[in-house]
Amino acid sequence: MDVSSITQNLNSDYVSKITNAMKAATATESTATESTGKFDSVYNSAMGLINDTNSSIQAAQKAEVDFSLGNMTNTSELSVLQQKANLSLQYTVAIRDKVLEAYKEIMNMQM
Amino acid sequence: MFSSGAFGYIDVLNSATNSSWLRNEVISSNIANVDTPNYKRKDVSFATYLNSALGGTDNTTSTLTQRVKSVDLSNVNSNVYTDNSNLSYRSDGNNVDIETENVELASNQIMYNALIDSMSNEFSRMKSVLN
Amino acid sequence: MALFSQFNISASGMTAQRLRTDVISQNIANVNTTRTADGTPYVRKQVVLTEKGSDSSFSSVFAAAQSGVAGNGVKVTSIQDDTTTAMSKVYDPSHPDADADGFVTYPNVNIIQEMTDLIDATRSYEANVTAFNAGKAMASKGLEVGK
Repeated sequence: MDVSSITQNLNSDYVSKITNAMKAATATESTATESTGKFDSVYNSAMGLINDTNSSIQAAQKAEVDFSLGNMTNTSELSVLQQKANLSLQYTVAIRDKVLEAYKEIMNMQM
Repeated sequence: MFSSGAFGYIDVLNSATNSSWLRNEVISSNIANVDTPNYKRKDVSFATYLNSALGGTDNTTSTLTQRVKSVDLSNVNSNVYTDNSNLSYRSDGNNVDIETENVELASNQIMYNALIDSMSNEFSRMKSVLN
Repeated sequence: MALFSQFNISASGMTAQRLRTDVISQNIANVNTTRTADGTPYVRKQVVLTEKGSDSSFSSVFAAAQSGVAGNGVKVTSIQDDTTTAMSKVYDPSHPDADADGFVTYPNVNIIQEMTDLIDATRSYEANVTAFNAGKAMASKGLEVGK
C-alpha cells in the first residue's frame, strides 16, 4: 500500500502532520508477514476521510481570505465552513488515535 | 512547522484585523468631527494592497495556500486617505454624512468580529492536531 | 497615548457636542433678554469646532508620516458671538428698554433654528456614544482570540 500516492497532493499542514504520524506508525507494516486484510480496509477508509477533511479545511481557508479581501460578506457561510472544517478535523484526529491504538494492540498480540 | 509558513493564514487574517481596527478609529474620528468646518472624511484602504500581494483568490485552492505562505505582508500596509469624492459639501465645508458613518461603523465591527472568529478557529484547528 | 486613542476620539466628540448643547440651551433661555449685565441685548452665541491637531513633538509627527494616523478628535476652540445675524427690532415705546425712536432690540435668536441645532447635536452625541461602544466591544472581542 503506497501512502505517498495519496499524500502527494495534500498540502494542508494539519493533514500532513496526521499522515506523517500514520506513516511513521505503519512503516514497519510492510515487513510483517501476517496478512492484515481487515486492518487494511480500516486504514483505507481512514485515508479517504483525510481527503474530505483536507478539502473542507481548504474551503474554510479560502473563505477566510475572501472575507479579508471583502469578496465575501456572508458571515453565516463563513461560520458554517469553519465549523465543518473543525468538526471533520477533530473526527479525523479521533480516528487517527483509534487506528494507532488498534495497531499497537495488534502488534502486541503477535507474540 | 514554523519555518514552513504554517501561520500564513493567521498572518493574513492578522493584517486584515489590524486594518479593521484602524478603520474603526478613523470612522470614530469622522463621527467626532461631524460638525467641524472644512473637515473632510477619512477612510482606510487595505483590500487592494492585500489582493495585489496575494494575486487574488482563484479556484485552484492548492496554489492559494502556497501563495499565502509566501506572501510578504510587510508591504501590505493600511493607508489612511482623505476622501474628497463627496462633492455635496455643506455650507461649512464639511463632507461627513453621519448616517453613512454609522453604517460603516456597524459593518466594520461585524467584519472585525468575523475575522477574530476565523483566527480562533485556525488556532483551535492547530491545537486539535497537537492533541 | 495611542493604546486607546479610539476612546479618546469618541470622548472628545461627546464633550464637544455636550458643550454645544449647553450653548444652545443658553441661547433658548435668553431668547427675550433685552438687557444683559453690560446693558446691551443678549447676542446669540455659537461654538467653533476644530479638529484636534497632534502635538508637535517629533515622535508623533514622525509616526503620523510613517503610517496612517486616524486623528485626535475634536475640540471647541471658542464660543463666539454671532454678529452676522441681524438683531430684531420691535416697535414698543412702552417697553423700559426702548430707545429714543421707540424700538426695542431683541436678541437674534431664532427658536426654530436653535431647536434644529439641538436635535442635530443630540444625534451627533448619540453617534459618538455608539462609536465608543463599538470600539469597546471590538477591543473586548480581540481578547478572545484563541479561547
